Amino acid sequence: MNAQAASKTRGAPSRSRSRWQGIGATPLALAVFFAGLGLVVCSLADALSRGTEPHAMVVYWTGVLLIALPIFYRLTSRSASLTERLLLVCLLGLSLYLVKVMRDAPSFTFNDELIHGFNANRIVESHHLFHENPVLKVTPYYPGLEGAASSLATMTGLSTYAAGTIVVGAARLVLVASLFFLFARVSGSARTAGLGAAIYAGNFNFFFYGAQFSYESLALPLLVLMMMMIAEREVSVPERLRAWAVPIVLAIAAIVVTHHLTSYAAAVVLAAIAIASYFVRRSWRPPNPWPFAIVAALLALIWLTVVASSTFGYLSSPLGNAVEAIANTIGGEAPPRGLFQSGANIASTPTVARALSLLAVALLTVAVPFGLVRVVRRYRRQPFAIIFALASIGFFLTLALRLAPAAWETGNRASEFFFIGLAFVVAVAGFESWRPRRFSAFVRPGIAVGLLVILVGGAIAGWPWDTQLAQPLKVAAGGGTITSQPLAMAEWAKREVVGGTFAAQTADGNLLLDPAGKKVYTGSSPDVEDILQDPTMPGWQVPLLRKYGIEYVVVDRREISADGIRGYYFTRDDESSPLYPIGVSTKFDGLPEFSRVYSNGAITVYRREEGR
Amino acid sequence: MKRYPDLERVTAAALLCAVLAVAIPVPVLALAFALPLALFLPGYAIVLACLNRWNPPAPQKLVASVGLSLAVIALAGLLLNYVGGLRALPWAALLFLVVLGGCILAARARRNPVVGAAHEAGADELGEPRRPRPRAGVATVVLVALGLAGAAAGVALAFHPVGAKHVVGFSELWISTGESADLVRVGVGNQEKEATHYGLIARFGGDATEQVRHLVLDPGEIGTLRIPVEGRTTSAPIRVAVTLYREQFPNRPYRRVSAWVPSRSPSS
Repeated sequence: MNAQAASKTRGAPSRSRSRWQGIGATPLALAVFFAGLGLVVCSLADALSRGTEPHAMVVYWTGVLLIALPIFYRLTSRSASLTERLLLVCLLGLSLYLVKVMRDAPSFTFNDELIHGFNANRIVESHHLFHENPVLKVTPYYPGLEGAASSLATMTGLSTYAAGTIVVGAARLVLVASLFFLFARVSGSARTAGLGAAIYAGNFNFFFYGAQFSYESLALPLLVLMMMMIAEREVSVPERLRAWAVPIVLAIAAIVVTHHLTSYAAAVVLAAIAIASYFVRRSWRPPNPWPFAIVAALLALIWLTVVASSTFGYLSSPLGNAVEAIANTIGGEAPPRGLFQSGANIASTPTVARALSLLAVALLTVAVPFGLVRVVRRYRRQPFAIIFALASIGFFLTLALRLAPAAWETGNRASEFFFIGLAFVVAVAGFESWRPRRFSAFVRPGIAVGLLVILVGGAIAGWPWDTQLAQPLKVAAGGGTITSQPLAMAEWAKREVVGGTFAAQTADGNLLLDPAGKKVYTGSSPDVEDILQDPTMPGWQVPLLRKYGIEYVVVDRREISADGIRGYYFTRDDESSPLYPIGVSTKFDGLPEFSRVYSNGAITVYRREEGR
Repeated sequence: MKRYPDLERVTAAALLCAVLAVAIPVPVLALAFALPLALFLPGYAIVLACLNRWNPPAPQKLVASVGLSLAVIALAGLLLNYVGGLRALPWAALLFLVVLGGCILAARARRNPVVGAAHEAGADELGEPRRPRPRAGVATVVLVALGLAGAAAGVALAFHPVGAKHVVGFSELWISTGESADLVRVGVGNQEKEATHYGLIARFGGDATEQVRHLVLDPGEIGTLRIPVEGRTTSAPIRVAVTLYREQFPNRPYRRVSAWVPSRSPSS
């Protein structure tokens, strides 16, 4: 199967290659140069944004263009070797990961990162796993990522931020490289593999969500690694099939202890490959991977029931809400969710950006039928190709979920799994081999630009427009460095409060987790949210604080403090910043049980003392 | 394993990395040894042990090694949780043992003639044209060096705080009364964009007694004051309220905190 397809990619080096060699510069070196240049430009854009200067967004997307376009262009070439294509996709994956790292350095700023950062710090401090995390109770029971980060942190003395950034970076490299080899094995073409991996970078979560220090950022690369090993096993000689068992089961087990949804996805993917394999070969005998599907399902089930039973509640609520929202939207009981929605006082996505995002989806929609035809013609005897074809169709179903309000997140999270299949199907569509009589010189540049649109459109669709760039968290002033109000409060808590259980709004609470390392309750369970947003003091509030042993109440008058993406940064004088009524804070002043122990203007901390 | 120098080298490298990663007190230097120990060698040993006849392109073996190493360190924490704890020494020892075990199994597998004769799918089936490796010219080296320098500069800039004209500065005030029945500790943090002169008034037991302090803080600077408790007429807890003023606005209270100073024990 592979040799035939592979032979079509072989050929003499093209003229363009020899021209580059003539001046002593390989195209790969040019791609590295432009990626480095693009990273400087992106970092400048972040610096402009942190400095509250205008036009940073234009600079930022210019940097992304400089990184991606030369790589995309070279990937469309016939002459690049497998190794060069691999290095190009690794360069793309690593460069885009650095774009995310530069946005947030030198600390975690994403909602999930601060939660997992807290878990990792607790592991490093206590040398043991499974510590309570009141903000997201399920996370300590999937300690794969934090455990991995702790290995580097404990052996070297690095911070968990540095160790976590390195581990997620390594996982990012494994993701793109495994995807490349998976696609190469299935298609028999390094060119298709390179294009497929590049297309995958256009998935909605590739830029930010999938690059954060969060369990899925490790589990998804392990899933793709597992798929690559299954694909390699498929072409292995029968005597050596058993040799793959240990590496594949190792990957499955690591996924199971790292992330719940990905572990279920692994079981489903393996089952689907097993069924497709049976469909193709009419046999359940090896290399049909059904035993691995059973292993994955059993391990996930055992972990769920024995170790992480709280996952039931954690997943059932959003999934139930998603199903209900879909039913309501289809039945006309609820209006569909508008695309590119942003709340009040939040900058909306510009029209051009919206158009790019929709154009990206349109390009994918147009390409998929061509790819599906190619799959049916050329790859219908390959189980992986069949699964990829089904996944590419499934991706568009996940897009439909974006129209139902409570199903949006489910659709967004599912898309990065389905995008694997979509990337393969679009890559095998064969546009790069198109040779029209006229304008043939524009085919490769056109494809490179199309890939850029898919990349940029995906990034815009997957992350709020107003938070694509770094925000001011620490600012240089008068020879020193000043920090934002929530971070200053968290640093005070870390420095001045020994132990302590806190109640806080989401953003403040996340910073109290990391860097402060405090036990903190946020949100509605228990209902500290209402205590912190309600200017009155109904009779249930103080007893609830007593019941949960909450000693410190962090009152933040900024409404944005409830926002786990935007609530960490400085207040700006050129943007409106709505406030809760003053009563949310002053209601504690008259109570002898509470001492007002910290104030920085927007944020006041009250200490509750028993027996006053 | 003596018959296989490559396995000996892998084991020796793992031992060296394990010892130096733990022994070197400088994190960045220790990282140079911890990285291969955690992110490459365990996976590589597993590939050698289990997939000794797998003959992919070298980069694919590298990717599998890094990926399996990630799987190992994700799982190894579970074992260490119950044996030894997730400490530096147990981590280094466990990772070394994984490498050692993998190399021993690989050596045994190589002695098996049946396994040795098996054929595996190779690089030629991945669409890799066999070509001579291009020589790196001066321009290539310069471009790659410039690219890496650009990336390093970008990351360095990201770690460097910059000025921001539209951010709103602020000041912090806090109080700590738990240390002593005779002292109150008050802290002021200047997160304003310029050096600020502060006035601070501490009132004990309502307005019975007050103390005034002054301090000047640069941006980002923190000042702490220890204020003796005054006006205590009984050993009972006493309320203290502290108000912060900026000296350019002397009549406008800027921040306010208050707390109870604990009661004096009879012996004191």
